[in-house]
Formats: sequence, C-alpha cells, structure tokens
Amino acid sequence: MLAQVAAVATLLHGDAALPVANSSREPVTVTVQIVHDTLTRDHIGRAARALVSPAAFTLAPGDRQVVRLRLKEPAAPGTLLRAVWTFTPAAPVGQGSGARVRLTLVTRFVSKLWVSP
Amino acid sequence: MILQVLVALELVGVGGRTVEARFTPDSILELPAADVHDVLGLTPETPWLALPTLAAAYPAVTFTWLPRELRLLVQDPRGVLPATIAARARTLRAAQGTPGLAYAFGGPFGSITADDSGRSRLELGLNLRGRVSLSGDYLPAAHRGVWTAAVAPWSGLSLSASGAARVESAAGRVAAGPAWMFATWEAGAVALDGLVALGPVAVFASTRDVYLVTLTRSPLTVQLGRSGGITTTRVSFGPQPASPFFLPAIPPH
Repeated sequence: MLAQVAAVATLLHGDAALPVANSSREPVTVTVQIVHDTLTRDHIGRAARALVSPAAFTLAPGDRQVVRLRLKEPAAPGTLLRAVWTFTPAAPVGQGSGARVRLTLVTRFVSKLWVSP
Repeated sequence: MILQVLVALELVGVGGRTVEARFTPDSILELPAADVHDVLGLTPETPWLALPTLAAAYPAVTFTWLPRELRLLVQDPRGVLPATIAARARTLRAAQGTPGLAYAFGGPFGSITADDSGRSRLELGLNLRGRVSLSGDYLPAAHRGVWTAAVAPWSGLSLSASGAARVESAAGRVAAGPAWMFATWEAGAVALDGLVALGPVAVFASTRDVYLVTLTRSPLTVQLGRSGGITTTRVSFGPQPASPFFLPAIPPH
C-alpha cells in the first residue's frame, strides 16, 4: 500500500486531526481537500470552506504527518463530508541520461468525515 | 508570505486547544494573543506572539515544537505560567479536605486493633467505588459503637456524618471554581472555613478565628495571617508554594 490514512474520521466541534503515513519505499507528495459528499460515483462534491493544515506536504518513506482540519462553515451534526487525499510519488533523481519512459501512478483516497456536535 | 497553520497548543498537565497560528515569511511560528491568554494565562501586548519571544521571556518553561504533529508542547515544571499556577491552586482547593474514601478503590475494609491493657477496637466498612463509604467502629470493652457514612459524588463535594444512636457530628466540603468551603458540626457547634481565590490572591477565613491572605507570584509567596490576636507574616520562595489554607506558624521558643 502506498500510504495510510483513516477511512473514517469525525469532526468534533469543527476540528479533526488526521494522521497520514507513507509506507511506500519512495517519497510522496500529499495534498488534502475537504469537499461535500454527493451521490456521484466518486462522492466528491463542491469544496467545503475549511482550514487544512498542512494542505500539501511531502512524506519521506516511513514518515508520518498529522493533518489538522477546521471547518469554517456551518454544518449540522451528522453531515457527511469527504477528505480527498492525493498521493503523487516524487520523481526519482539521478537515474541516468538515457531516454526512458516513466509511469507515475497518482493515488487518490476519498475518506469520510462525519460532523459531530 | 504568511502561512496560516492549525497548531495544537498544549500546556502539559493543564490543558490546551487547537489554535489558528501562522508562520511568518522567515518561518517563525506566531501564536494568536487570545489563545495564548486562554491556554497559558499570559496577556501579550500584541495580537500575535512569536514563539522565540515567548521562549526568551520564560526560560524556565520548555517549548517543544513538533512539526510532524503540528503540536506545541509547553512544559512548566516550575509553575511560572499563570495558567499553571491557577491549575495547581484549583487542584489544591479540590483536594483540600477530601475524605480518604475518595482516593480508594471500592470494596470491603476492616481492622482489628488491640493493646496490652485489654482494650480493642473493631472496624468494618464498605467503600463503593470511592464515592460512598459506610463503616462501623465497635469498642468491645465499652460496649459502644459508632457508625460513619460519607459520600464524595465528585471531587468538589463531600459530605459525612457519624454517630451512635443519633447523628453526633457532620462535615461538608464544597470546592467550586475559585471558592472552597468546609463546614463541621459537632455537639451543637458549627465551624466554617472558607477560601476565595482572586487571581494570584487567596483569602482564607475561619470561624475558628483564623484569617489568612496569600499572594502567589512565582517564585515568591507572601502571606499575612492573623489568629488569636497575633499577626504573622511569611515570605517564601521555591518550587513548593505555601498553602493558602494554613496559617504560617512559628514554633514556641
């Protein structure tokens, strides 16, 4: 598995702290977005007004980072939001000068964020 | 460019909250004054307080920045921050006069005591989860027994009563916010002790003719007390602050 994030988390009083780990053997760049849930297949709706800290960062192999969230818009208890995690492997350096094809696999996780009173 | 960041600001052993801090363009962490006041008890003169400024102002306090957790741990073992002083005072008020049952696990207890004059004492009781205690004492030589009932439903309240055929004594203790009160009744006489904390000042008064004012400004504590027509003053320093509940005393000499 490329990275580890919680599949379900709870926003308590509008705040949440979500750990993310890089269990792969390469550095990855991580971006996080908070969106509303929709009935579409990917469940990714309009962006929610939230402070995400940090919203983008790089994780070395084996590293962990806590991402803190604060919702900046009113949401009724029981509301379901989604956290969209995008993991992009960092391009390797010093791989020689020969022409070669590199396939970069970008992974996107969409986890649940429940709003708690 | 200023970068806004969510930081868990924690005063270890006291409390904390998630605050909306910021990084200046030269990567200095700045904390909002309102949150610094709420968590640490300080009153910064500017809307934002830089972490290096805070650390320089309080060299006895350890500030540990954990960037991977976005957490700022503040350790104040010497108790120099106002929030630490206030928390310790709250703990002291809540603990002062708390019956021993509140510190025990639940269960039955008992004892047998005897001396070489032929007297003995039997005690048997039951403690329910450290909240309720019922016990009885019996003195076989005197054919006399005494019961005691006590409740401590939460740390700020405890009540107890004891007697034989009827209630002979009772005590009650309330610790709520900045106030503390302890009342006893025995043989028709009531004694009342009370304390009110107003920031660094604690005022204690008792119907036993004891009055004490304690001013704590770490590392100094100044006390002015009066009892039995004698006024006593005490200035102390060190890691163990003077108790605002006890009048400073000088042994007879």
